[in-house]
Amino acid sequence: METKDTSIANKIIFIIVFSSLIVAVIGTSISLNRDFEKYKKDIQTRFLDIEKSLLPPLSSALYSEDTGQIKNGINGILKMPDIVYVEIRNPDEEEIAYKNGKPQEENSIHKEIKVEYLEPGADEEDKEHIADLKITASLEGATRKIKEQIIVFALIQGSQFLIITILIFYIFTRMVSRPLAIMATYAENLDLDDLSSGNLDLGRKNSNKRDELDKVVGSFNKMKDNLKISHEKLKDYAENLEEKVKMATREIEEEKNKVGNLLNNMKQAIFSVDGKGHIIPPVSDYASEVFGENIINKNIYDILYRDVDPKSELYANINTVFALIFGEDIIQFEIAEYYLPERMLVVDQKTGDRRALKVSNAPLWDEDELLTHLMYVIEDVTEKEKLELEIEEKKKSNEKNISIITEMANSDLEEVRFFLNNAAKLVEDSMSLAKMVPKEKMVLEEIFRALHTLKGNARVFKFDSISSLTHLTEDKVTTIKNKIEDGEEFIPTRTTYNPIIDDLYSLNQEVNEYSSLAKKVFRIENEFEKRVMNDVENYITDIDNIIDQRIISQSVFFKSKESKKEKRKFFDEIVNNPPSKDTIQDLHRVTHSLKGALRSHSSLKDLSEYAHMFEQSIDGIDQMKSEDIDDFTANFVEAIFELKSSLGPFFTRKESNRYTSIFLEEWIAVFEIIYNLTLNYDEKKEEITPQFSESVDSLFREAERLNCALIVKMCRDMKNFIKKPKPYIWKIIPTIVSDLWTFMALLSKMEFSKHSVDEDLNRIYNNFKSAEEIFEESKVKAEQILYTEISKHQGFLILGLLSNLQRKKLPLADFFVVAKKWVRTGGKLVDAFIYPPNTTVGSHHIVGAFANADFSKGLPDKFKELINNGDPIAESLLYFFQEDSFYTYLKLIDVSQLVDSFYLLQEDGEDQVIKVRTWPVVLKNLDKLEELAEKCGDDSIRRAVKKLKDIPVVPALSKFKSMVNEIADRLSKDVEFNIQGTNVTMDKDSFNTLQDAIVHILRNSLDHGIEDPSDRKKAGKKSEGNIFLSCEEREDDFINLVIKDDGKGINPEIISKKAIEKGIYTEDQISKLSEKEIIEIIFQPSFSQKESVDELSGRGIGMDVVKKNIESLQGTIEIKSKVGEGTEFILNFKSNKVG
Amino acid sequence: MKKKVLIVDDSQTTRMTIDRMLGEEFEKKQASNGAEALEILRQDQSYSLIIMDINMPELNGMEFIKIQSETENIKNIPTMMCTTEASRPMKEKAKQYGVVKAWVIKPIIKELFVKAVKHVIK
Repeated sequence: METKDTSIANKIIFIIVFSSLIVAVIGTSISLNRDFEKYKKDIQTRFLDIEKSLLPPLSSALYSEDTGQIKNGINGILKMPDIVYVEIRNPDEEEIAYKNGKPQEENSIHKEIKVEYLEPGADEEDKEHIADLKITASLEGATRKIKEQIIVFALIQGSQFLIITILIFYIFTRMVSRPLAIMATYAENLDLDDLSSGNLDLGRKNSNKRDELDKVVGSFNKMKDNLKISHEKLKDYAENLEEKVKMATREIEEEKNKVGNLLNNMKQAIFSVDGKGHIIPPVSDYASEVFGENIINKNIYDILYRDVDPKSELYANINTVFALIFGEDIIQFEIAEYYLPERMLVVDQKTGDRRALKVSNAPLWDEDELLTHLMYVIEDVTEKEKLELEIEEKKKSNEKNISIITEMANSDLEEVRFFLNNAAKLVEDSMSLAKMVPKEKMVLEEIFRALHTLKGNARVFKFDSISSLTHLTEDKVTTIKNKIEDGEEFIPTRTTYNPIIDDLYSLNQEVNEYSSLAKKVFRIENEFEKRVMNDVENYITDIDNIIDQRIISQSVFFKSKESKKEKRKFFDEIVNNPPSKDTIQDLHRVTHSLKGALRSHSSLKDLSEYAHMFEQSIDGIDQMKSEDIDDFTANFVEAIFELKSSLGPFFTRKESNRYTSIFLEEWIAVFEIIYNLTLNYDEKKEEITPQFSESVDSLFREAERLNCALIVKMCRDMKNFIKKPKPYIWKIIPTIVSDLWTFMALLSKMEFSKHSVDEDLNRIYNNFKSAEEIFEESKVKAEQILYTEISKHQGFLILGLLSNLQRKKLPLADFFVVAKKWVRTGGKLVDAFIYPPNTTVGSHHIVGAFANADFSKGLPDKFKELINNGDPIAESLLYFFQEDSFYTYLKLIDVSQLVDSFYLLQEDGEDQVIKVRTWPVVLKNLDKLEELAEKCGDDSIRRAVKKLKDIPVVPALSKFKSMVNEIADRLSKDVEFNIQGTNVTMDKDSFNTLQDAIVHILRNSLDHGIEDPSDRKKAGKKSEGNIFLSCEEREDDFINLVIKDDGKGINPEIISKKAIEKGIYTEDQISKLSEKEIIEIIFQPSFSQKESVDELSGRGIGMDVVKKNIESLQGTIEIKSKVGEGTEFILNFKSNKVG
Repeated sequence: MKKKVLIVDDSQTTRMTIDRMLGEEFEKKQASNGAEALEILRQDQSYSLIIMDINMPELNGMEFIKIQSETENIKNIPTMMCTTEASRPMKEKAKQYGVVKAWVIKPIIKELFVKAVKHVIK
């Protein structure tokens, strides 16, 4: 649209003038009109005046028809202003009688007046109408006047208009237009690139009052200033843009890194994929670690699913899911998600290792809640699975252990002990024979016999893995023996025997495992190996302690073998401060003993090499000359590390066979002695009081009972210190006391950690905590809290101790004083002794740590890691193994044993655990009871107690069932074995004697009585043979036991023949014997002993033993046999040897 | 009044399985291929759901849904595809016909299947 420049002033003037004109015109018109009306009114008034004043004379003149007078009258009227015409007419005539002036029709007013005459004195009614007077008044005067007025008005208006116009124009131009123009010009000229020019000034006089313009200018200038500032900012920004972008980028990067770090810390690969399977950033850093490459923009099929066979169902499923879910809703996703694999195995492309990945998926939706991306969260669970597997295996072996323990618990422990010692010997004998690579049948028979005995014994105890392993080995031995028998050309070599030797090794291991369990649970030990093992442990600890206490200021144990820095440090230390002759001698002596002990232990022989090497390095130091001190020291340091790292793992092996008690009451006793010992110990005085030494003695005894190697060793050392005090012991004894306390705290905490009743734990924790908090201010209050707690629960180590203190009327609060001094802890005692309630971290972490750790260096790190994961036990462990403490090896042994006992053994089958835990207690109590009964001398009580320990015969014999079945299987015979009997009991010793007899009778029946199934069929019998055992108690304390089979019976003719062959009887003698007597020949030692072992279970072995055994039970044995029908052994014997 | 479900699958075992999974809550009828299903639907259009296998003789699932989508009185019955394998083009095509409301993958997991059925019928 085209615009024209125009002045605002013009517009304003026009508007003002126009509107004022209209107003003036209207006003003036009204006023003029009023004037005009007034004029007219004036004229009317004049008419009235005429009527009043001029009419009477005129009427008289007319009446008198005085013409002169009439004319005077008319002129008088005419003389009146504005009257321009007068005429008089006779009322009866039309004609004008008199007239004067000019008649005017327009712009005039006419008035007709009736002229009447009343004679003076006449009545008003007698008025006489004498003429009509017509007067015309002109309005021209008024018109003229108005015209004049209009002219004046116009003049006034015109001048007013002029003045206003000029005024407005001036004012406006001056006050508005000009400033606006200035402003416009200023704004027009304003250079946005350079706003530094002066402010807008309208050039007006300064005034205090600001009008609108000033305000506008102010605003404008302000705006300009703002503009300037922002412009400058903008300019600055533009100039620094690059920098800022960089900074922002950096910030974003940092943010991303933070997220990345977060993701990275989570050890998860997180990313999402689109419908085509493309991986879209962001991708967590860990992803590339998991997949061994950068996965952004790669296809999920080439990454996570790269090892999936395209022909597999899994692949088809993945494909199907990908085809279905994208662009669909949540239900479709939920249906399909199930078919995506949750666990993937991916082969690392570089290392070839398999990684196990746990995969979870989550959908990402668009605004319509349709799936656009699929998110993957992938966790590398390789390690976790490995650990789980290990724990699982440990558990499994534990399950096996439980069943072994159950078997043992069901057997006589004395017997088990005998069996295990014997088994180890048998295996070892067989092994040494086999290693000789024997070529003689005789030797093989000896091996066979040993194994056979082992197998038989193992079957009796139902130690299935031993018996089946023995069985396999036996077979191999038989094969070789047969080959030797068959052909002359066969010469066995080492290779021939290797499988047997391998078998024997596994057998040895198996027996060891049983032994280890027997030791652990029932304290059944192989005395010799036990002694050796103890020695080994003690020697290693001695070496460790001598080095840590007297040569190097810090424990070497936790230092890595590879750390050159550490070695250098030790090296410097030794060179600067060479060990004394005394020390070297001690070290040498101990190392030598260690070597000897290692060599004498069957499974530790290999380790003696390291001891030997170490011994040599000590020799070196002992004889070193000053010039080669460096060489020798270096050697020595190297040797220390070598010895440590090679012996370290030895302590974690299962075969180390340590058993430390897990019985609470025993530990409470130990704790109490430790408490007393501490009270008797004054660390400030470097002397040993008799009370202290007494405490050490009793602690030593208790620890031996508990079989706690660590405390035993500590006590033994302290006893030595007491005997021969040396200066360095004042450093060691406080450490030992502190170790003892820290150990107790650890034990207590472990014990609580297993407790599953949260309320208990909560209450104990809180009570202990508040007691600890106030004991310094108020002993009484603290003790009250402790009393309350003890009265509620005593089933924990710490509460047991406190309750013992209370019973002895010792102040309980002192416990805190002592414990605070000696327990190594990071904070409060409550956290050292009591497991924090509501902790979610499971105990399997600790088990895992002990199962996995490389003990020579990894353990502290593992502990730290566990602490970070929130495991409360780990912290206590770290304090227990503190670097400047000693006895690291023994600590490890005891703690790992306790961890096993606490967390593994007891996790399985609560019943079994109770059984395992209570069995020895029951036995122990029975022993005590027996002792008491013996003392009280009352025979009936004594017998009753003895009876308690009796063995129920029938259930005890049922263990032969499996033995019978197994032997029958091997002989390919079908046998059913039944036991029947009343509630018969026997004392333990008698039962053992009987048991051996029964084993032999049963074997005999199986081997020689029951026929092969085919033979039985031929004989018209059922293919399944029967052995029947019945047992009942007679009234006279005698037991009647019958073993009956339905086999072929004993043929007297064959016996006779054999007896003659063997030269036991002559034909003549035989002929005089009854059938029964002939049969009883089998009980003769010479008859059975002559039998060789070339048949599986050794024909006739031990029938003499049977007879002897039964006789020792003041019993008799009788055989009833009928050829073809079966044999019956009838045993009558006394149920108690002693009676 | 029970809702009606038509189960179409050439495997009798699958039909029985689905039938059992759906339980007594529905009135169920079975057909062994698409053609049979069409025949049933010609007589009765009051079904609330068709459960449709893909690979079948005579008239397969994809052919069926095409016809279904073109047949006035049955094109509003929701259909659930039930298949061992699905490809993207297959799904796109099915989407065009507009009768398929959900896809279920074989082997059928009862919980997922029942959930899907309830969702589609609702």
